[in-house]
Amino acid sequence: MTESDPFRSVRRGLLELAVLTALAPGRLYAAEILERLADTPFATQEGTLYPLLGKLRRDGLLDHEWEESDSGPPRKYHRLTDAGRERRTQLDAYWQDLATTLESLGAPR
Amino acid sequence: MNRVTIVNLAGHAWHVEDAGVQSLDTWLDQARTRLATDPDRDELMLDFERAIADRLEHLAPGERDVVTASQVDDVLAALGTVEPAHDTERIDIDPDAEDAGATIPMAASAAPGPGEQSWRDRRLYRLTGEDALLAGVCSGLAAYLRLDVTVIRVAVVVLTILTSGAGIIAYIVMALIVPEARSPEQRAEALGTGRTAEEMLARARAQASPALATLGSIITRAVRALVVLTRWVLLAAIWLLLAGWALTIGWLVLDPDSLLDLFDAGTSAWLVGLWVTCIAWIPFALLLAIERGVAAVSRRADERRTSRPARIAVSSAWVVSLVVAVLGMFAIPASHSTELAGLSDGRTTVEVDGERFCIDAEHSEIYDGSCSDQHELSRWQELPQEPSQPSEPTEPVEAS
Repeated sequence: MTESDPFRSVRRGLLELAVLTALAPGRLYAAEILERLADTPFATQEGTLYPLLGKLRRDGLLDHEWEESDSGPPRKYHRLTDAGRERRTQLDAYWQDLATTLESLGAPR
Repeated sequence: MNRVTIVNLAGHAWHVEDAGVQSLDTWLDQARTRLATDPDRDELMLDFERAIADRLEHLAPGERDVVTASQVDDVLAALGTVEPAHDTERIDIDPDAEDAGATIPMAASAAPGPGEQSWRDRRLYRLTGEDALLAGVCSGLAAYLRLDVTVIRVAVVVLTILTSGAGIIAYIVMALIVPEARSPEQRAEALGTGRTAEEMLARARAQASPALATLGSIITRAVRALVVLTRWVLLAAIWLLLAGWALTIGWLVLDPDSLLDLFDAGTSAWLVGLWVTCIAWIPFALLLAIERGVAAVSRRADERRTSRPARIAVSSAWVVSLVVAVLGMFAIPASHSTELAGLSDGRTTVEVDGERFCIDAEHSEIYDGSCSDQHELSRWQELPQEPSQPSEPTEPVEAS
């Protein structure tokens, strides 16, 4: 995951889809999202994730609620809104579409 | 020994080593600037504070009592660099459902960094520390004017040469007047809030061509040498002055009459001594102040900065001396011998207590009246060859 990684821009572009997908099963707080992504190519850090979560919330794709934590400060749980769910489905379909297109482009004539 | 500061992170108090507090400040400050255009900046800043606190909570109970600087650095490294969401390069996945946020990204990455601001938003500070050569005036100016610091230094040196030294005075004045950027906030203000000092200086270094860098290091050495030389010259002048004063006082003590002859009869030696001291003090204090000023702008002298009481004492003594010296000119009258007109043939007209004499130095003779009154020349007295003669008038009249 170095700066010169040629696939970095691809991953960054898909990070939004990755976050929306990670939140699809249910609500998570930021540390849990990071944990989910940690072992995947989408592994990221607070510095990148927090502003993205803020943007997704402004776009109406996410919602959050506060909950007291047993250890440490209260936690902000994020969950998908209906618009978020819809966006995820669209992105997912579009991604599949792109993958199929790439496959057919490379297919022998 | 490490000092510890209590830091409030998201409502919890932490004991953090001072170096760690500095890292925290820098990181949060940088985050704030990078999020300058983010509408949720304030909330995100709180989120980051909570994230830091959350990670600190996960330290082992014993390690939590005092958070070390390296623990803070680990936590900050784990958080990573703050990247504004709209800066993320995104593949335009769904052009039909394009949202407001998706239209920004490419333009935003092409435009100057989010925190970069016009020079109107910057403030002039001295940027001290690693990259300051002396008092950080040039690096501060460089940040303010968005120029390479070497360019500024070359300009200062050239201007100093052209103005035969006035540039040095200007530098010292600026070093004393322009405030030093101490806090990260002030540094951000000095640099235009977009950058930390480290980033800015790294950029300056990266931009500097090798030739410019060589020139920069030559100037660095030249300025250091000049400062050292200036201090030696000033110190030498101070000691010479001190020696001159001591000699005068010594003369006054050992052979008061010869010195007191220069003044009115009956002037006390103490008064003359005080007057001489005050006269000597005026340039002495001035030289001392300049020397201290030069010492203050050379970075290594920071630890032995002159204390405020000492500065007040020296400057008030200087004012008192000035007053005493001026008063002394009137209060301690010198003998009233005035040279009126020197003639080319070696004769001089002098006025001693209202009477005019003509001194012929060439023939060691003195005549009554002005030298111009040729027709009234009457031989008055021949100067004795011995220096002192009991028959002489009390006023010493010396042929020069």
